[in-house]
Amino acid sequence: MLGLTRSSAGHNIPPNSGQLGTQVQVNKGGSNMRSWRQAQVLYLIIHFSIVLGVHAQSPSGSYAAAFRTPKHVKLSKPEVFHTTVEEVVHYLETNNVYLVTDPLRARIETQDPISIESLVRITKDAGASYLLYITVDRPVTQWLKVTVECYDLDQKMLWRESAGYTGLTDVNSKKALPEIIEKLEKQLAPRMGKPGLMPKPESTSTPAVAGENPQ
Amino acid sequence: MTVIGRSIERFVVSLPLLLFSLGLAAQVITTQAPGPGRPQTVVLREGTEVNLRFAQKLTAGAAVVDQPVELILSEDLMVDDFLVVKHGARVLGTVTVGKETEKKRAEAKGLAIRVDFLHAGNSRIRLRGEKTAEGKRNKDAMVAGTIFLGVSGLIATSGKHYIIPEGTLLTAYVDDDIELPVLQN
Repeated sequence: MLGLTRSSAGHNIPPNSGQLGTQVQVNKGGSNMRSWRQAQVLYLIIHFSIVLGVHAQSPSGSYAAAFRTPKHVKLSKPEVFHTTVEEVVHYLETNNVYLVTDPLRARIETQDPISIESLVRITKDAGASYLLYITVDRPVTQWLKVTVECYDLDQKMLWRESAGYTGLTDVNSKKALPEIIEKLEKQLAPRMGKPGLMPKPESTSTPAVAGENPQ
Repeated sequence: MTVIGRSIERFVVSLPLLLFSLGLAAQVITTQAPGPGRPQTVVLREGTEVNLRFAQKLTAGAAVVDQPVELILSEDLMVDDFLVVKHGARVLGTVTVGKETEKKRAEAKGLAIRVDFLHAGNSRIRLRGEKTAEGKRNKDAMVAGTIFLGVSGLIATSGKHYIIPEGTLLTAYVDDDIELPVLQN
């Protein structure tokens, strides 16, 4: 070995005739400590990978609920309301937004208002992280108006997008929905992949929200 | 490196590991089986009173028969001092008296619901209970109608309006015996 001793860790150590025993002992301790430290580092890496994995799988889906305003009830038809909600949900689904299905009932599409507190509780119960509250209105000056609000589980409104159709020369509201969906698409596009419009996890099957009979 | 130095270094390196282990141990303790005298499960008996609260407003002008109704458990549900369902749990009911179809514009001449089940963890606890809304007349509208239109105005405005406001309390009863896990208080 030409006067060089090779340690288990691969470092070259010059021989020291007087203190050889001590040197070997120290080297042994050092290599043990290094391997122990490596094991710890490995353990921590595995732990943090698991933690990150768990967070990646944590629910980030949205729960969609819709409300029909009294003005819409008075001046329009229930079919318009349901079709409008269906179109908005369809747009979200085609853009791979993770919409959570309520295991207990069909999507909430109501004329009687439900408080945000109650809706957030339902959202939590369904395993979603965000509430998408779709309001369908029929203001006096517009054929149709759709508002999409996003709330987190603390009932805090994260964002709000709204689109309406005036159509002064129109005799009916046929053009209203396509126009509104187009406007909403433009408004919601920059929010895709962000809170409220998070993408579906790859392992998640297609939600049945849009397919169920809304009530 | 001295022995003390190595010890300090070893301590510093192992500190995160120690903290993580402590956290894990705490989690394990909280999910451990209940101690002696504390059963893992208890039977919630048929007929047990359950206090509920409406989580939504209902009106005869909008509620349609068979429409689901959202309620919540207003008080913790206990069996012999053991907590089985925490307050705030979701309860679902169904409209039994209301508009026959959504298309009808006229208000229904009554409003009632029945309670179906309480959702607790993975269990659905079947409940029985009913609530009927009391009809109220809009006196202001009746006075105004009579002043401006006479008897016909009075007749037109004297109809009853049926409303169940959000937060209205309701008592229901457990419909069947069911075994439930005991929760931590």
